Amino acid sequence: VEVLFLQVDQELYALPMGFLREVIAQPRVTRLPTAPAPILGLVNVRGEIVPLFDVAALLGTGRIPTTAFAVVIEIEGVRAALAASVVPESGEVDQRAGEARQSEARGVYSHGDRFATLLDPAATLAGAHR
Amino acid sequence: MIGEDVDQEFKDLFVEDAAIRLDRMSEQLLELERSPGTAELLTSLCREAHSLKGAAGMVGFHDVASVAHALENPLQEVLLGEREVDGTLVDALLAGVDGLRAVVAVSPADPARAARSAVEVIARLAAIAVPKGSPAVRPADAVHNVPAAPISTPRPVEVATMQIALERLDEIDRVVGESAAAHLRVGRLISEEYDADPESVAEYRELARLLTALQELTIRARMVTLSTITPNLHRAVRDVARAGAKKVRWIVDGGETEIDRKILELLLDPLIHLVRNAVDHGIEKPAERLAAGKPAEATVRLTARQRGSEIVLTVADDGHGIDVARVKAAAERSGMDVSGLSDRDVENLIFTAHVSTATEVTEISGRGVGLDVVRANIERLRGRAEVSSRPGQGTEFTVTVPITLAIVECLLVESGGQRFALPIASVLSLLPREAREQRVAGQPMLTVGDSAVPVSDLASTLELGEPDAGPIVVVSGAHATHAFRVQRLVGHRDLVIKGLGGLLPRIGALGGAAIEPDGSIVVVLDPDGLIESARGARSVGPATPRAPVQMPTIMVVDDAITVRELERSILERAGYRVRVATNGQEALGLLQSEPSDLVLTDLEMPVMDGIALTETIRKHPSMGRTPVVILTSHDSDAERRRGLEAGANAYIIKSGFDQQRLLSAVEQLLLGGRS
Repeated sequence: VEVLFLQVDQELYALPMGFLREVIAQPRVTRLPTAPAPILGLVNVRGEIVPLFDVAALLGTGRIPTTAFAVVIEIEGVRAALAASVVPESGEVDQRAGEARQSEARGVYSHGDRFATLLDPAATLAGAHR
Repeated sequence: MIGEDVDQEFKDLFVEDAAIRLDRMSEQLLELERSPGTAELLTSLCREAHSLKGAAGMVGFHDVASVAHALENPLQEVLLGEREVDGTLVDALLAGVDGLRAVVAVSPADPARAARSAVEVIARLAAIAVPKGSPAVRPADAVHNVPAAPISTPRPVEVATMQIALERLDEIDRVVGESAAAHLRVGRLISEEYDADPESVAEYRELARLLTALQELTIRARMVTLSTITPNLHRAVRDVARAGAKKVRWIVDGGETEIDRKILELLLDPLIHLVRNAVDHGIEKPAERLAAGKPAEATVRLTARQRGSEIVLTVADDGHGIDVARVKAAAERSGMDVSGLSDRDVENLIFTAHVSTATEVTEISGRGVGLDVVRANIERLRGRAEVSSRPGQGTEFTVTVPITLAIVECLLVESGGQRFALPIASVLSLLPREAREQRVAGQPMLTVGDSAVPVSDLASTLELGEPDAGPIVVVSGAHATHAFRVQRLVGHRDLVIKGLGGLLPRIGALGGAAIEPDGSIVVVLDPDGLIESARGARSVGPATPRAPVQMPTIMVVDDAITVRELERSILERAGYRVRVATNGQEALGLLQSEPSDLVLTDLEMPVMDGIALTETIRKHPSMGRTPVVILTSHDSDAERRRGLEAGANAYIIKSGFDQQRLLSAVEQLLLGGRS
C-alpha cells in the first residue's frame, strides 16, 4: 500500500496516499481554547479554515510536543490536518506485522526495520467527538 | 466639501443606488403618461430626482447633481400646475433619465466626459422649458459649448436567471478564498523581494479591490428570494384551515425579498410553525367571526422587507388576538412573577418554554413543540422573534434575521495573548480597566446601568492561563448578561464567519472562526456559550436584565443608500454605534424596540419624512428628548424653520457638508443630553 509516513514524537503512522492533499511546513496554528486535547487548533489552508488534529492523542498513545508539519487530508470532501513532528515521507508498507491496539487503526505494518500503525483516518477523527 | 476625498466605495454605492432610482423613474414616467393626474407619482418622481441630487452632491458628482436638478424642474412645474403632462414632456423626461444614466456611468472614471454629457442633457431638458423661462440651469464645473459625442443609453435588460449547482457555488467560494490567500502571498513577496510596502503598489491595491468585490459577489450569488418557500407556507395554511373548517386568505407581501439560502432553509420550520399557529390558534371559526362583525374569511399575511442588513418578516392574522389573562395565568402557574409586566411583555412570554407548552396544545399546530423552539431556532440564526396582538383584531409575529450569516460585525479583543472576536450585536458596553468591582457572595460584580453584572476574566474562562486585567466588555446573551475582563481591545472588524465544521465536537464558548486580512485565523466566541462557561461550575445566579447600551448609538435615516452609508462610515469611524433606516416610519419602529442616543435624518423621504419623524419623536413619552439632527439638501430659510419648529436640534446642509461639522454637532448634542 502506498502511504505517507507521519512521525509523531517517536511513533510512526502510515496514512493511505488517497487521503493526502498537501503538506504544510511550519503551519501557523490558532489555538481553540477549551477544546479537547486531540484538537490542536485551526490552520489556514489556502483560505480555508481547517482543524488540526494530534493523531497520537486521538489514538491515546501520547501527545505531540510541537507541530512541525501539517498534513492536509480530505475525507469525503471534508478537509482536516494531522500534525507531524518531522518531514513526512512517502513510501510503501510491505508486511502486515499484527493487529493495532486501537480499533480505529487498520493494523501494524513493517517498513524496513521500523513498524508503523496504518491509519483509518475517518475512524480516527471520529474519536474527536468522544 | 467632502466630495473630493470620498472613498471609492461610496462612489460605487452611489452608482448602484442611482441605477435603481433611475429605473424606478423610467417606470414611473411611463405610468405618469397613462395616468397624468396622479399627484403621488409626481411627488415620488420629484423625490427620486431630489434624492439623487443630494446624494450626488455628497459624493462629489456635481454634474450628476446638475442634471438631476434639471430633471426636477419640469416635474416641479407640473406639480405646481404650470404645465401639462403630455407625450412630449414624458419623452423629454425619459430621454433626460437615460442621459442622466449615462452621466452617472462615466462620472467615476471620466469626469470630463461626464461634464460634457451633462451639458448636453441639460440643454435638451432646457429646450422643453415652459416659455416664461425657468431659471437657467448649468452644471457646476461643466465645460461649456462642447459638442459631445452622442451618448449611448444602455437600457437594462430583463433579469435572466439560470440554475446552478450549489457545489459549484461552494467551489467558487473556495477559489475566491484561495485567491485572497494567494494575494497575501504576493504581498509578502513584494515586501520581501523588493523591500517595498505592497500597499504602495497600485496594481496590488487594485487586485485587493477586485478580490473584495468578487467576494461580495459570491455572497450575493447565494441569495434567493423569499418566494422560493412561500408555496410551502401557503400549503400549511390551507391544510390547517381545512382541518379546522376555517376560511383563510393567504397573502404574501415582499416575496421578492432576497435572503441567504442557508438562512431561508433554517427559517422554513419556524415560519411554518408560525403560520400554522396563526390559523389554528389565532383565527376564529367563520360563525364566530361573523358574530364578531368580521368577514367569515380570515387573512394571514406574510410580509418581508429588508431593513439595513436585516430582513424583517411578519406573520399577521386578523383573528382574536392573544388572551393576555390566560398567558399570565399560565406564567404564574409555572412560578413566574408577572406583576409589573406590560401586556406586551406578557404576550411575549408565550415564547418561554413553560408558558407555551402550558397553553392549549392542539393536535395540529402544537405537536408538543412550543413557540420556545421557534424562538430558539431563530436566535440560532442571530435573529429575534417578537409578538404583539390587539384583542379581537389579530396577532402579529415579527421575525428579524440577518440577510446573510456570512458577514458579522465583530469586536476584536485580545486575551491570554490570543485574539478573539465577539459579534458586536452581543456587546452591551465597554468599560475602562479602572471600573470598580465589588465582591458579592464571592462573585465579583460591577454596576452596568441599573443592574449588577457578574465579572469574569476572559483568559480564565477560556482556560488560557494568566488572568486578564485590562478593560471590560459587557456581553449580553439570550438569557443573561456577563462582563469579561480582557487583555486589551483591538478594534472593530467585519468578519466572514465560518463554522468550525463537522469534524469538531461542539466547543461551548466557541462560535466559529474567520480569516484576518494577514491570513491569520481569529476565533469567534459564542456569547451564550461563553456566558455559560463563565458561570459553569458556579451556582447559576438569576439572569440579569438587559442594561441600557453605554456606547452612544446614532440612528441614521435617509432613503439614499449613498448618504446613509457615508454617514454611517463617518460616525462609526468616530466610534459611535450606528443603526440605519430608510424612512421615518422604519426609524420609529427601530427606535421603539431600542432607543438611540441621537437621530440624524434626511428631510424628504417616502412613507414618513424627516419633519413628521421629528414631530413624532418630540411627542413620544420616552424618547421625546432624543436629539434630532436634520441633514438635507434644502437650504431655504422656510425649510430650516420648518425643521427647527418640528423640534430638530440642528440643521445641516448637504452641499456645505463636512465631516467635522457633523461630528462636532453630534458630539455637542450628545454631551448636552447627558449633562
